[in-house]
Amino acid sequence: MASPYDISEIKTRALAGTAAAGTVSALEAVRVEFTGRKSELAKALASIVSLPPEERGTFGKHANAARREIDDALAERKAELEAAELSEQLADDRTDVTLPGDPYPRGALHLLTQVRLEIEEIFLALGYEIADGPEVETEHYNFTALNTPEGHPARSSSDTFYVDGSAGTILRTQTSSVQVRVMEARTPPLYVISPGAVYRRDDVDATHSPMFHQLEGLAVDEGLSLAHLIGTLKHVAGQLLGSTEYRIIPDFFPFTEPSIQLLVRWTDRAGRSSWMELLGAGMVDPNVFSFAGYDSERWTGFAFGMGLDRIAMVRHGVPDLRLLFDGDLRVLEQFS
Amino acid sequence: MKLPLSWLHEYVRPALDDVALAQHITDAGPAVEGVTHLRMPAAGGNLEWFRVGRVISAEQHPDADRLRVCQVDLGELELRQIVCGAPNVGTGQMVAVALPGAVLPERAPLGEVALRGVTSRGMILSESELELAAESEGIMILPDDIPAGTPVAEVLPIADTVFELELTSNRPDLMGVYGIAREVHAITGAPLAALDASEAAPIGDGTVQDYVSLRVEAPDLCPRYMARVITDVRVGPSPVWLRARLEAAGMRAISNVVDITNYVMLLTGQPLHAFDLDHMAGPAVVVRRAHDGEPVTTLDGQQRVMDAEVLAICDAVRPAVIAGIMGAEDVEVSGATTRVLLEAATFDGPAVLHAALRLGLRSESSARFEKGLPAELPPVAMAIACRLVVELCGGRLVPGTLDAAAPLPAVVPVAMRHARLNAVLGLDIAPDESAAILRRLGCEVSEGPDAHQVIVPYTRRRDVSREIDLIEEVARIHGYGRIPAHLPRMVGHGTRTVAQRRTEQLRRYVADQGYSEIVSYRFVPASDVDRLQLAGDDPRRRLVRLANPISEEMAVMRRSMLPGLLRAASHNQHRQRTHGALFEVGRTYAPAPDGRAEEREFLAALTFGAPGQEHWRAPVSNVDIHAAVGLAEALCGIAGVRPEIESNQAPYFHPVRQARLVAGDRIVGWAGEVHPRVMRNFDVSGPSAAIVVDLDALGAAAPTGVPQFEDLLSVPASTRDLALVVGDDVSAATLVATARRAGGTLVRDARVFDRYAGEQIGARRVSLAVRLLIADPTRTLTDQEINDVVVAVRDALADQHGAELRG
Repeated sequence: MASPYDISEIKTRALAGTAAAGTVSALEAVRVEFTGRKSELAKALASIVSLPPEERGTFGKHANAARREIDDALAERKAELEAAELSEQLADDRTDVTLPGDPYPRGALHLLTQVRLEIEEIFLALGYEIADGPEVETEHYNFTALNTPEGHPARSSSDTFYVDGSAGTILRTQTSSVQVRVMEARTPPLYVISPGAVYRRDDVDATHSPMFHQLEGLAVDEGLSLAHLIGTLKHVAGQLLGSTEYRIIPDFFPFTEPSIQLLVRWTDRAGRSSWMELLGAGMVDPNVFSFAGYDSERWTGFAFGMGLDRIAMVRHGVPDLRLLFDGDLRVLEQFS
Repeated sequence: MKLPLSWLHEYVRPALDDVALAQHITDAGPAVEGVTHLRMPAAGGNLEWFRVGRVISAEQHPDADRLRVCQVDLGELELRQIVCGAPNVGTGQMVAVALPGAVLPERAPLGEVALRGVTSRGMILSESELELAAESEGIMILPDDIPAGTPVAEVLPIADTVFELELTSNRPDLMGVYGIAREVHAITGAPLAALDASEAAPIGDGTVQDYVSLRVEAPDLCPRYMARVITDVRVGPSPVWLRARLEAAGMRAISNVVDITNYVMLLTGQPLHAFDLDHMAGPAVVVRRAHDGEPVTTLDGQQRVMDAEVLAICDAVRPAVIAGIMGAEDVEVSGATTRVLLEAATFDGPAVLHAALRLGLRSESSARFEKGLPAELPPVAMAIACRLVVELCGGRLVPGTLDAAAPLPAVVPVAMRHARLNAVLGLDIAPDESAAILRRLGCEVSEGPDAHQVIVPYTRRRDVSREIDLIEEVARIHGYGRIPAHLPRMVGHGTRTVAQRRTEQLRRYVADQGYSEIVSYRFVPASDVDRLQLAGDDPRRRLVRLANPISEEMAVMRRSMLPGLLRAASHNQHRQRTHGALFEVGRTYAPAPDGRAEEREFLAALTFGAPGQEHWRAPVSNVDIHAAVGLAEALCGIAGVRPEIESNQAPYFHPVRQARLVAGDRIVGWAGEVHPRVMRNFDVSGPSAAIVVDLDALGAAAPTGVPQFEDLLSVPASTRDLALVVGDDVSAATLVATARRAGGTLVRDARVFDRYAGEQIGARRVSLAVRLLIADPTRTLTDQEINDVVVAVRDALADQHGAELRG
């Protein structure tokens, strides 16, 4: 007796049903109908025992192949339908991606801080330490020990701020005073920079300020020469300004001899090129060493100083010194 | 210092164009800061078009009353016809002519023109057209003895180039043209002409003692005073060349005698003074300190009041000159002067400087004296000046000189060792080369195997007195550009200190929270202590005051970081920035017992104004005490410090919305909302909260050594939350402290994580949620043990603070 089930016919209906299912749940109904425990196919497979033994093999093979074909079609269709449903669902998540992103706070270090840190890094890499000292200073450390005698114009009350009621106390006019303190406290070799605020009695205008910032340096060692000073300055100018073209011209400072000035070739945003006065420097005057109790026959040294405010202005195109001091956020935020 | 090159060229003329000369001078001597061209443009051979001509005839123009038609001999084959409008043109005159093609300043090149129908092939020039005088009436008449056709530039300074030199204070010798000539000679090697300091023949009557007496009562302030008398002087305008030189050097021509004193000063660097001898009481010269309150009316018409620190040159009764600075009106040389007393003196430099500063009066003269001039210089200047007065003013020089001089300092040679020279410079300069350089600088050098013995010229002795000074001289003339560049061997440490690193870390952190760093003036108005509402007896009213502030706004050193931030906030609020966040790292200054200051380093941050909705979904951040405390805590945390929060009473903060952060016995910071009145005092609106972190105290409280691993992983920690209702006077910090104490070592952390106040809770009550983290690092706790801890904490909170458990 032949099987009452037409496997091919069942398969054809199942595949048609699978293809026609439009949703995952409709497909599930198709699955139950054609492959569930109560499906015709299940029954057909169960009926196999009633077949003559010689037909069972062929029929079973046929039915199992149909079952696999239907399962594959169902799985394939399910994947299709799920993908389509996910796509639809994701499409509903649409938003305006061009809206501004969430704000993360971002303040700014002051331009003077940024320039100072950058220069400090250059000197740290050369082996220098960073030293600090008082801003309310004695005339001794600011002038006398720096070979600036009584009666020198720089000591006049038109140039230097004096503290009321405390004779010989001033606001330091240069961070070189720190170098004197370092020399007094330590013995060579020394490689030290001292950044900080200094004060001179200038009225406030676009290029002058009664308070400004310097970074000075001092190196004392055996065998240091002017060539080492120039080598150091050239290195710093190159690191800081990317400038390799430099010029050394004479200058005068009471505490160095010889005294020089370093000019570097600087091209501004408008393409104008000029010699920029970057810093003053020189070999430490033997008188300064004798104040510190150093033997100037054994030790030689050099010192240099630069104005951080001016470097910041030139390098970043800030036209007016006052912009650095009035805390205007429109300025500060430009350098964040 | 303005240096007319025409004047320099009289003494030294290197074979360099102006640009190269400026560069050479700058590289080895004073910096040439500017170059200007005076009078007629010299470029492109323009001066060739200016020629001397003789007026052969001058006839009335047929169609113009005011014009004359001149035939002028310019040394050419034919005469030139030139139409001239000047009333003073006349036959036989020698005149300066600009030929077609000539360019006068700011004008188009001259062409051949027809003036009312008559061709004019040039232009007869006036002094003002040649820019030799500000104004002139008619054309300039030249001396007869110049051949027609001579370039005008050969006889008149119709063009000049002026270098503006920036001098350093150690080089008063460069405040005279001849000093610069010496310098240019040393730099370039071009030959230097001698300065003619020969005396005029003394043909006056009698001797100088017959005319005037001299008494120097203050030799400490006046090491040398020289005076001479010249009679029969005719005061009038100076010749063109003299006026041209003065004006090119930046001084105004006044009259021949005064101009000569200025000319000699500009040439030698030695200021001179000329008196009208007939206006000198005595006649006497008395050099003395002024009396306190003694008045003098100076040349500029101002009355000046002197004191005993000011040196005065007086006649028998009254001051005639503030020594070295400016003369008095009534003894000045005038048009009526016939007998001139000339002064050439040396004054103490610092004394002149101080007098000039005290009187608020500086002059070309004081600018030179204040730097210290050598006592050898007055005789040189005196000789030149006397000769010029005789030559140009027709005077008769009276024999004899009054000269009150201290002995000149002894001349001591300075040794310069060859080895030292090269060690300091990092160079290898041969002894004969260094000797040659020093000789070019005017030194006498005796060469030795190890060292040169060097005698420095008197003009430089003040500045060059030691070996190192000679080394500098050799270095700059040899050329700094020839010194190689080497980095020194590295021996330093090259690290920031712990404190420096911490400060930079905190600075960076605050910036990253959206605060912008400011740098404010550290001198502030004294009234800031009132603006901050400090009590009358508050020790912070003791301030470091400046004796000579620029203004009341910058009179004292700041005692607090807040005013600078509040001013910056106000500045921004007045510029459409209603809110923002600022910070500053810096010092405050308190008077110290030694007369200096206790300088402490702080980080202070301020938020000002209420932020509005500025972003479509980000929440608006709060400007209040809690935000401030949070930032302060975070900063402490970066330093490894976990401070206690305590209430605080500072007058500049909101009375009940401020706190201090305490670590052990140190206050490391403060946080608070700014008091509304303080905000008003600084013109800041909206809410404002601030923190101040004491960086020194924080550093002292910070743990030392490196952090050690703690095993938080092997054993689980349990979290238990307690919701409590307490009176609103119980602070969170107190509650947490009690919880920690009660829970013992097993409570690893306790914190308030929620707070609610409202009707459900009741008036003056608050609900706080406390989270306990319970663990023993060595083992897993049983539920019973954990519960015991929670009960102990709950009971302690109930007992000590009346806390009721909710829910």
